[in-house]
Amino acid sequence: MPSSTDVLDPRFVSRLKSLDLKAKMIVEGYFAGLHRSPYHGFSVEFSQYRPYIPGEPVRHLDWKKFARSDRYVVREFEDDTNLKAHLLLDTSGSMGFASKDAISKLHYGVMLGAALAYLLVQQRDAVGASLLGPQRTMLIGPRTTKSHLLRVLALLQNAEASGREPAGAALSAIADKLGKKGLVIVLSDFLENLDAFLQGLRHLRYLEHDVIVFHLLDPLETQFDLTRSSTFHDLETGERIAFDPARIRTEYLRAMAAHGETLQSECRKMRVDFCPLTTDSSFDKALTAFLQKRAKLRYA
Amino acid sequence: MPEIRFLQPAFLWFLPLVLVPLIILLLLRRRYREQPFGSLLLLRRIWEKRKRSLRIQEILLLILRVLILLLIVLLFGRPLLNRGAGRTVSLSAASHVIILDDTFSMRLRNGGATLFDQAKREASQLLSLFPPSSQCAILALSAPSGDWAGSPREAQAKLQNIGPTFRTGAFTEAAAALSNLISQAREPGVAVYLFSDFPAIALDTLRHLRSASTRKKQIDWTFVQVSSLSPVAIWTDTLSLVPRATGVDGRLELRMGVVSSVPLTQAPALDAFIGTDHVARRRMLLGHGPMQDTLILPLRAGGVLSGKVAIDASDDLPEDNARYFNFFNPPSLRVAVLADQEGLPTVLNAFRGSILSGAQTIQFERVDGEAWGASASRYDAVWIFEQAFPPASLKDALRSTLNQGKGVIITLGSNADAAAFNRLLLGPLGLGEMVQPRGGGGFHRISRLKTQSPLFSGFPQRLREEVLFEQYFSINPAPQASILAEMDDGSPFLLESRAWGGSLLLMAGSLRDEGASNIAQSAFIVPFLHRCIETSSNALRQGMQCTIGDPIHIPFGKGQKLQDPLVWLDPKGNAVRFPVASVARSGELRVPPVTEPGNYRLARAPGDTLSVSANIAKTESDIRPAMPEQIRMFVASFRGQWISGSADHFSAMNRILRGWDLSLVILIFLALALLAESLLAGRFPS
Repeated sequence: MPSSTDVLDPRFVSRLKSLDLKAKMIVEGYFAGLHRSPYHGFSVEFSQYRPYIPGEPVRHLDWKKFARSDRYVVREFEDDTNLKAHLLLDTSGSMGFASKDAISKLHYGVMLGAALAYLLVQQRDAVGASLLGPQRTMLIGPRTTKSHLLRVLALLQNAEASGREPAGAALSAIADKLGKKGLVIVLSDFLENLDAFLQGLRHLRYLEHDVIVFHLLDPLETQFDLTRSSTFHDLETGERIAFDPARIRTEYLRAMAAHGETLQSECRKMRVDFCPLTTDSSFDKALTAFLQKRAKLRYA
Repeated sequence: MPEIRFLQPAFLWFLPLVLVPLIILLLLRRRYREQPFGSLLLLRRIWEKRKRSLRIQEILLLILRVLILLLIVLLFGRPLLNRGAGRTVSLSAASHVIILDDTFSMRLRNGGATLFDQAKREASQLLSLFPPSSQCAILALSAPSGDWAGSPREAQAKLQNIGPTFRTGAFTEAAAALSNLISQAREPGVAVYLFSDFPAIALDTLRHLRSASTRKKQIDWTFVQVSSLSPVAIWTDTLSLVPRATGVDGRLELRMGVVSSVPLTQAPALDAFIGTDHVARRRMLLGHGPMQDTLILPLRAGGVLSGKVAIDASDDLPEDNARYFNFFNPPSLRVAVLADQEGLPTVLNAFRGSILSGAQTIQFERVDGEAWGASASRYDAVWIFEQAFPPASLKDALRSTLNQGKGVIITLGSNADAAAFNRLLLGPLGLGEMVQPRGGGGFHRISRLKTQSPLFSGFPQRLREEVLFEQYFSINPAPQASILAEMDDGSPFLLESRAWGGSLLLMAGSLRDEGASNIAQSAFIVPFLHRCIETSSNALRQGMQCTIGDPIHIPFGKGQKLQDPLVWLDPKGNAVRFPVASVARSGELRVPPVTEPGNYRLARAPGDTLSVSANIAKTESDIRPAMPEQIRMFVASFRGQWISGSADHFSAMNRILRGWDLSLVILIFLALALLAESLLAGRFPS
């Protein structure tokens, strides 16, 4: 029986076959461990029954349901913000990168996006999705139904990392199509010219969307702990460069850190939430960041 | 020339390993791993900026890695930098033969201990340098025999049993013994060490020893001269001495054949040379002609004697040691005097006792003017002394003399026939022309001296007043003549000229005058004569020089035409014939040592005669560098190592044999190279 920790481990989850199962596993696993997390008690409410977790206050137990079904469930309160969330997943070539023993950024983004979509629908929030890349025309508008969730999951499941189309430009383009203000969740590695991305984010903010950015990177991209001379092959452009990585590691890490700091500081200026993740990070960090954002929106 | 050798040369077989980094680099370049990467956005920027420096780093890293491997291999090889040229035998893989000179001359005391004591002590120190398992042998030069003694410890024991002797060196036996040892040596290399004072016969010693060499073994030679004081000759500024060797505590009986104006007791005594304080008898010697005397003197280093010496056999010295005490007459300055009177002019007595620099005495011989030309080559200078009529043949004889670069002095007497002198001598010799006698009515002095002339370098100006002449000839000087002094009436008195390669001095006044001062005149006559000798000696040096008592080796060039037999002529014209075959093998003619100074000749081929000037060694500096230099050159010719001069021979031996261990230096460079490689490779976190 997988533990609550296992189900938040991307490597574990990635072994599951269907995406909806993955999403469910992540979310339920997250909440199963919630009572142990520091985020316990933050004010998120759900509009449906949910299983009672031992240790929770019993005042939320729905006794009638228990009498009928002999199951301990908690009655949730309906959220009446009618949040419309848009998942935007970067499908440029660089997202297909996976170092040894890690999952690709795209796959991680897909699982995370699926989990967030599942979560949103559970909350009776509307969720839509779009892929940033050559397939940006694939836009699914936000709905609250479960069948719509399956469509979103299907879109995410079929995403492929390809092409050289900068995702930043696609972001600006799609901003106009998102409709009235909502929550935009961007899942990307931002490994391209930042200006286009930031322009897109500004556009979203101009349109009064709330934005949360998940900066997805592979552990190799953040640590660059290669020791052997190699020919590096760009997954987007096909470009090749041969050198000894050990000799430029320090400079690379410095450049990568500066890239992330720039992105973060610009996000901060735009009041965009920023969550850096690596593909070996447990999903709870991402979910927590999302739920904190969601909580702010409830009281906005 | 410093050389590097290795104590563990087998490790040098690993040198090809230094190519490994290059091979790895070439292989890796071909097999760079493919590494997909999300985006080269950041990497590209860094690569563009650092491309060139990365290439340089790569090259430097390669060099450093090659260097590291090279240093590691060298370190294991245990390199030694040694100053001994030609050393091919390593200390740890050699059999060692120490030859100790225990012959007569090694008994010389040098500051308390004898040379033999010093040599023995240094040989013992040398034995301490050898690895304990080395094979060692000790040979005594006077009686060489024996086998390999065994380990250095056993050799030390044998060394202690060797003492100084009165014997001479048994060179042939030493060479045979050495050859025997070399052939039986356990190791592939043999190191031979000779401790000696290297007296005059050292070259013969070394030649014999070198004959012991064999191609089957690698041989390193080391020669340690235990004293810088050559017992070959010692010198003062008054007398000359060439003992063959001394070193016995005892006394010498001297028969003196020298002219000396300095009492022997005032010459630096020779007590320390012998180490005795025997004082028997001393005689004051005042030189006015040859003396025959027997003198028993203590001998001490630094003293100079000349003459013939016999050994007092009552001191139980072996008879054959007499040759160690052969002293030789110093060369004299031979001046032929052409004078009208019988015998030598008494005025020349004033010059007889004069000592020129180099302790050469002046020896005057009256010669017959007509027959003199035939024997002209025997003389170093000619003095035409107040002749009335110069002989007709004199001009040709003088030309022959001057051609040899020798000097001619002409003193005009009051009876000189001006016409004859002008026609035969003064004119042809470029001196000038006699006009008429001057003088009378009192004494006249020399004035207007050309004091810058070297002839007047010792002329005491105050004595000018004492040089008086009653009569003299007025001279019209020739254009090429140089006026060195004038009379007070302006008439040239002293003229100098050069003709036919020689020097001429003309004195227009007579030395007979009572007022003539011997001292004053000797002050410029003597230097002139000396200069003539030097000039003629220089002319003779176009041939060869040798020192009496030393063997003479005359080399021949390859393919040089030689007559058979070669004819060796001594100054008296006596001939010794040498067949050409004696030259063919060695490339040189070995003439036995000459015992008389003078000019010898070797007829090499028709019309090709080599002059050999045999002289006594003049100064210690003449002798000291000559023999040791010959020895050093000989030693260098078969790549031996020469140690001398320094008081600390052990350090010199240590450096030559052990060399300077470069391991520490290499270790330091290795550490630096490793550090540099790590820094360049980025192993240290910044």
